[in-house]
Amino acid sequence: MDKGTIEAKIIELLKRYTRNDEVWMNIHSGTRIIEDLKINSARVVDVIIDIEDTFNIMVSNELMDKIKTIGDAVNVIADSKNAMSA
Amino acid sequence: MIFFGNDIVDLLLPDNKEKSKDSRVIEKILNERERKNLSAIPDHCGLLWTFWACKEAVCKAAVKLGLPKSGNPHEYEIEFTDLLSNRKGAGSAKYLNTDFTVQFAGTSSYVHAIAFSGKGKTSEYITSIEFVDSSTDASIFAKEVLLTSVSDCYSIEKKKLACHKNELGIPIITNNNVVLDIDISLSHDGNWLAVIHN
Repeated sequence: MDKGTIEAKIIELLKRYTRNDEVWMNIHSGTRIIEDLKINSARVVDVIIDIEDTFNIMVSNELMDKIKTIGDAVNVIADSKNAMSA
Repeated sequence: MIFFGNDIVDLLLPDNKEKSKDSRVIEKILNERERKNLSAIPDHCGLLWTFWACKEAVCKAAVKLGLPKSGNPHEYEIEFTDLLSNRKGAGSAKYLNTDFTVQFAGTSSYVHAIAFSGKGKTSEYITSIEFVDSSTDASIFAKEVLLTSVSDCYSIEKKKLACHKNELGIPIITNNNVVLDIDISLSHDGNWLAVIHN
C-alpha cells in the first residue's frame, strides 16, 4: 500500500471524529490531529484502535507517542506494513 | 510557582460509556498497576475516565513546566491515595520523573480532575463547571465563563480581557494585551466544560 493510499484512508477515518468541516480546508501532512483537526484528546485512543483495525497492524503505546500529525500516522503505518512484509 | 491543569470527561457520552468495556482501550490508557485498580472497582466507566482525566490534567500542568507532551498515556502514572469512591478523591502522579498532585470529583454525568505541579502541592483556585448543549460553541462559551470569572475576581473590566494560546499552545489571559500572571486551564468534553483559574 503506497503512502498516498494510506493518507486517503487516514483522512477518511479521522473525518468521523471531527465536528467542523472547516478544519479540513488546507490540510497537509503536517496537519496536527488534536490541535488542527480539533479532535478531542479523549478520542485519540479510538483513532489509534481504528488505525489498527483499518490497516491490520498493532500500534504500541510507544508508537502512539509518535503520531502527532497526519504525516506521522502515514509513516507509522507504512513502517509497520513494511516490517510485516519483510 | 505551582502550575495546574484540568480535564473533564462526559461519562454519558456513548463513546465514553462503551469504550470503558473495551480491553484494548483500557490497555492503551492504563498501565498494569492502574489496571489492577480498575478491576477492584465495579464502576469501570467512572474510574477509567477518572484515570484519563487525571492523566490529561497532568499533561496540561507538565507543559506549563516546560516538559514535552507525550501521546503515550502510560507515561502519566497515576496513584490514588485517597479514593473515597470513584467520584471523589486525590492522589499523586509522576511524568518524566516529575511529581504532580491530583484531585478529582464528579457526578454520575462527569468526572473532573485537577493536577498541580509538585508532590503534595495544591494551590487556591476557582473552578467553574458548566453544562453546554450541543448547539453552543463550547470554545467560545468556555472563554466567556473564564473572562467573567476573572473579571469578577480581580475587578478588571471584562471587555479588556482576552484569552489566547501562546506559542506553546498554553492558554493565557491578557488585560489590554498585557499577559496577566494568572494560571488558567480550560477543558471540554461532550456536554460539559470546566474552567479553572487562580
